Amino acid sequence: MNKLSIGYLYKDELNLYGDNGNIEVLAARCLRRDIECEIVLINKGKLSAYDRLSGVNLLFMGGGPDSSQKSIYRDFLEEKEPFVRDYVASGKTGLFVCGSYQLMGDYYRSADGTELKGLGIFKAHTVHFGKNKPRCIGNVRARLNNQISSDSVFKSTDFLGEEVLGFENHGGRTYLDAGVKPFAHVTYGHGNNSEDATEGIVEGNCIGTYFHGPVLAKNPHLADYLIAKALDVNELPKLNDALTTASYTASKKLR
Amino acid sequence: MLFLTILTTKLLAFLIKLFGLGSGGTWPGHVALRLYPNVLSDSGISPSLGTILVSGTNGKTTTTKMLCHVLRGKGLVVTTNASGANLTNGIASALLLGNSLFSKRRADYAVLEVDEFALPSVLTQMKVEGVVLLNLSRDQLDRYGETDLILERWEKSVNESDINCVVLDKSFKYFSEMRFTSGVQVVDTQDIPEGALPAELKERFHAKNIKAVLATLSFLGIPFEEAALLLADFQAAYGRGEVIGSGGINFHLFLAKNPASLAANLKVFEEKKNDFDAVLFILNDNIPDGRDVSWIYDVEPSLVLSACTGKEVYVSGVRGFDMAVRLDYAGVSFPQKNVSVSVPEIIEHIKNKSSVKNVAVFPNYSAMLDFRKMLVGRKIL
Repeated sequence: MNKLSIGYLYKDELNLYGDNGNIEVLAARCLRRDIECEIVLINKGKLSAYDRLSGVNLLFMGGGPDSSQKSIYRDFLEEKEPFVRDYVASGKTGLFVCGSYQLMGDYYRSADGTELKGLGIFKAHTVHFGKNKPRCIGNVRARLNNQISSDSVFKSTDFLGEEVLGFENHGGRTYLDAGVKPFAHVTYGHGNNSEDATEGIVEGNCIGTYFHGPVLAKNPHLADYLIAKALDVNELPKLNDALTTASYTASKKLR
Repeated sequence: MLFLTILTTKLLAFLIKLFGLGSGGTWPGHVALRLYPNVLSDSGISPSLGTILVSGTNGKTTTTKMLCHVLRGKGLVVTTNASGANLTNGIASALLLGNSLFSKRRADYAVLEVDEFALPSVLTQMKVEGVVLLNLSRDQLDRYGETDLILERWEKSVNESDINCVVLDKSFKYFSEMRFTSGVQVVDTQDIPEGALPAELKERFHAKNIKAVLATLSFLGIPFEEAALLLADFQAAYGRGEVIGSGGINFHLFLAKNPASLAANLKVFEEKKNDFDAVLFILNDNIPDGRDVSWIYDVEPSLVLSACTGKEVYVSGVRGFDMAVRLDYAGVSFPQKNVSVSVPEIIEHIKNKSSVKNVAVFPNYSAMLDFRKMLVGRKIL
């Protein structure tokens, strides 16, 4: 089997709510299956400095406080843009959480009306309404969109069902362009904007989501789906998931 | 007006105590603020020598307690607030209850721990001599918004007050970047020499907190040597290094309310690991804890694994399963029957295990209060 090569963008800046947990979960679930796994840290600076980028088959970018997002903004738009655009267009697997999900969209409009340009790879935009609308905070549950849930890879690796669980905490509200697929449909909580029941986005095999922090620890079936997609395999060896299953079942009841 | 407010507050506090009605730390102050909204700015309740506020994510309770301990050791009368009652209402309670109705005798000092978010509002309302800013991490972000915003508010409220002194640790980049007006004396705790710290205290408490205490006392005119002597018999606050005996088992409490405090306490534990047979993690997601438990992944997994290696591992709390999964991914092994959301069930389970005599308990905030209540039979707040 191929090896999983995780490209981890801006680990030092974008790791606010236990985002590292996702990398830990991916690595542990590979290790337990004797699948080789490497982590390629992609920091600020010229892309030419990296010789292992072409092997990356799972790209991850987390969330951060405003100051950290500002500190990587120029670099992301000017240095990383061509790589990320090609990566997504080529159908490879990726996960962009919270702040980075917003940056992958067309633009982010602040409460004072100023617009921050995004990469425009995700067909969506984000608006912060300031004090007019409260932050979207709390436990959240959503049902995966059918592109994912009917995917044969998901069907063969899934052991928990179509529902994904998480915690969200975002001031900006995201609106998808017409015809664009969300990552999931909200069954409890806010999701993209607390209006249209959409949560996150899917573009090719890349996912943007507001499920922040260790989303893959809460959703091991999603972790396995991403691993299988990244490795381009239809199945993965089964693990002993008694504990994660008990945790998932307990978390489903959270309000 | 002040007389009436103090009278009401004292009466309420008396009734709450008499009938065991719960939080005597916050309710009287809550009512007082309704009755007399500007009570905190009334000079009638301010102590004669000044008020010191202590704020930050970690170490507020212990630092406040140490400051009081030294000042009282010098024979001064000090008003302080109970741990947890650190919002405006708790502060009003402490100041009003610390005042006598009929005598002119006032407290010399008030040393109050203040919630990070409440600090700016408290600073605008009352005259304060000095403020100790310990640190600021991602605790309870879902309640507070982001840290940058809090730092901005702290800076602004200090600069708009007539405060004389700010004690902080400039080794934190975010503190070194704060700018204060020229009237404010800024004391950097990095300037406190290591040798000034009492060795015995350093083993039990974080050096940064001790340094903040020495720096503050020095500003108040108490030299390091005298402070160190008075700190010699200092005892820990509830839940911080406390030991509770129950059913032949000693439960040692290591409050672990956020990544910084969990990591720090795992390191303290590592030093005396041989004294323990088991570790128990209790994780809740109640409002005072912050609803988001993602932070458990912000602690270095090797630290978690090393602490658990060779010990019986138990996990409980409303979000016990999240913690159990976290431990599992860190490489910790334990039977699944050692995990239960029910704390009483886990305590029973531990008591049935004859080989376990000393348990290191890592609870977050509300879990610590609940756990104490279960074993001691009463709440501390």
